[in-house]
Amino acid sequence: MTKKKIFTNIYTYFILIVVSVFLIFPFIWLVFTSVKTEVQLFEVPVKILPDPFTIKNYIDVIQDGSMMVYLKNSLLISVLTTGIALVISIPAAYALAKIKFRAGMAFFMIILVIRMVPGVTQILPMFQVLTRLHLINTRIGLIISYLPGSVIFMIMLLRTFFMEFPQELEDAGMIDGLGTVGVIRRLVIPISLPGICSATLMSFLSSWNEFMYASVIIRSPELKTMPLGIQSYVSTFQIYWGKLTANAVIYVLPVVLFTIFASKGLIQGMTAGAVKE
Amino acid sequence: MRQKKYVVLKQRRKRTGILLCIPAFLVVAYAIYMLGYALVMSFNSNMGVLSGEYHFVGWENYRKVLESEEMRGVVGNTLLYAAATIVTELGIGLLVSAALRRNLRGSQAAKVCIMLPMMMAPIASGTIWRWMLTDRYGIVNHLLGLLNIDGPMWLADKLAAKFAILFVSVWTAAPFVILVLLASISSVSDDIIEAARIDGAGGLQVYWNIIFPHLKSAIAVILLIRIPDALKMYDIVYILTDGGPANATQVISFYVYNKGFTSLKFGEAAAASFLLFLFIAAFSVFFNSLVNRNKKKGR
Repeated sequence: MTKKKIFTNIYTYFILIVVSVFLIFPFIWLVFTSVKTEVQLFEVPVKILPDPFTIKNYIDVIQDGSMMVYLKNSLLISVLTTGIALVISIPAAYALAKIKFRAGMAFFMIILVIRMVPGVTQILPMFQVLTRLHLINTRIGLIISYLPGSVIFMIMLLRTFFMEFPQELEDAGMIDGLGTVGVIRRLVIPISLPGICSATLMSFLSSWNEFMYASVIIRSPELKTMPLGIQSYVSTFQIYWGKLTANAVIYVLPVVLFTIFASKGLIQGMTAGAVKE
Repeated sequence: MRQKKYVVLKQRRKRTGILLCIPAFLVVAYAIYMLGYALVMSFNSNMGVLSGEYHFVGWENYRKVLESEEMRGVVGNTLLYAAATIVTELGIGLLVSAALRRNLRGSQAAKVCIMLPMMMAPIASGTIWRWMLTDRYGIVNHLLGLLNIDGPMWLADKLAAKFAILFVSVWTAAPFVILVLLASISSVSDDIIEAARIDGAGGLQVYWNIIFPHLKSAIAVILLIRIPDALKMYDIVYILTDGGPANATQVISFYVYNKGFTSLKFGEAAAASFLLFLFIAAFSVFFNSLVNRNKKKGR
């Protein structure tokens, strides 16, 4: 190895390490904070390592019980939204990718326009309408509000995946007597499964992480989702950082695990729409 | 006869296409209805929206929004954040994607580290940063102290609060930029680079003349996705500074939300939010046509 190469390697590692530390440190600090005692959190100067190590925050949070309710609500709403969005988006994405028809082209243009509408422009009228329909402060109201965003996101992403689906395979299926629904169910879905999985994961995450709509639509504590639970800790007069971070760790843990195990698929899903054009 | 059959088949296929789109269309129609409702609301008086009646007030709401001193500050902040975060993200993105391209040992681990912030809920990242930026007990000021720098009151000082928001938004969005650039940079073939090397090009020359032109369309896509996103920012401001101190970190979404749900001036809020939508739409259409024209020129 030449001297120059060693130098560029050091330089490369330096950039990667600095950026990785910058990006990962808040997670480490989140975990450290959650296993410190309340006294230790307010020590000056700051002590980096937790000493004594305690899981009291976690026990408190779990015994309090409200976190379990928030988790259940978040899970329920994200799963339902994503499931419904999948069932609705797959056929539409297939039609837009594979069939040439004028109505479809018009529909796709509409989707492109609606995708640009900021959340805050949607939530003002939604609040009025949902109030009138008595759907404010209900899980159904929240799911209805999440659906357009999820469906549009999925159609856009799945369409790019389905466009790659080989026409020959589809024709062969048709000749063997499959109808359009059969082609979608027996051929398109199994073959595009990786793409569908990453779309599902991303859509699930966007509902799991959503805050603004939930803060408008949900009021009662027993219906709150996780982000609202975390927010309620911050807005009280004194912030209990230990419990708050324990809550946050439990909230982000599934996401972190997902990311580590599915990083390849996620990168593909995220960049698929962006790189092909 | 055969011709006729072909037409019938084609007709049937079109009909299937429409049928397949109907459920999705219903959901999208709901969003269209909401957009129309927002437009109607923006011409209604604030009281009218609250009482459920309709008092047409013409451009009154738009005039109020555009004339208010507060709105000017808010728009300034929003544009400033959007510009500053995106420039920073692109800088980091170009640097890191080039480093990752070399595919040294450990790159895969670095990629996972890079993905995490993007996956995390903004509300959770805002919370942890808020704790890290606390002035006496926060780790950031402690670390700065080790370097003999006296850290500012991050969330209470006007200027420092702006930097705090910038910092955290870069933290959440840089990963996306890095990954898109990486996907694009990975498709530059090694042969071309090798050939340039043999012809005597240095590292920087290779980057500027071969790799960078290849990244242009990826950068266009990043701008097209990230600029509207940055203009819509809400969660981070809410959890980190709540728009304070003294409105120094207010952004448009935050302003609209409070105008509506705190001050109950729904007419004005709808007008402001509609202006935001129009701005984003105009930007996207303009930028898209710009990119397309350049693409045609390139051929």
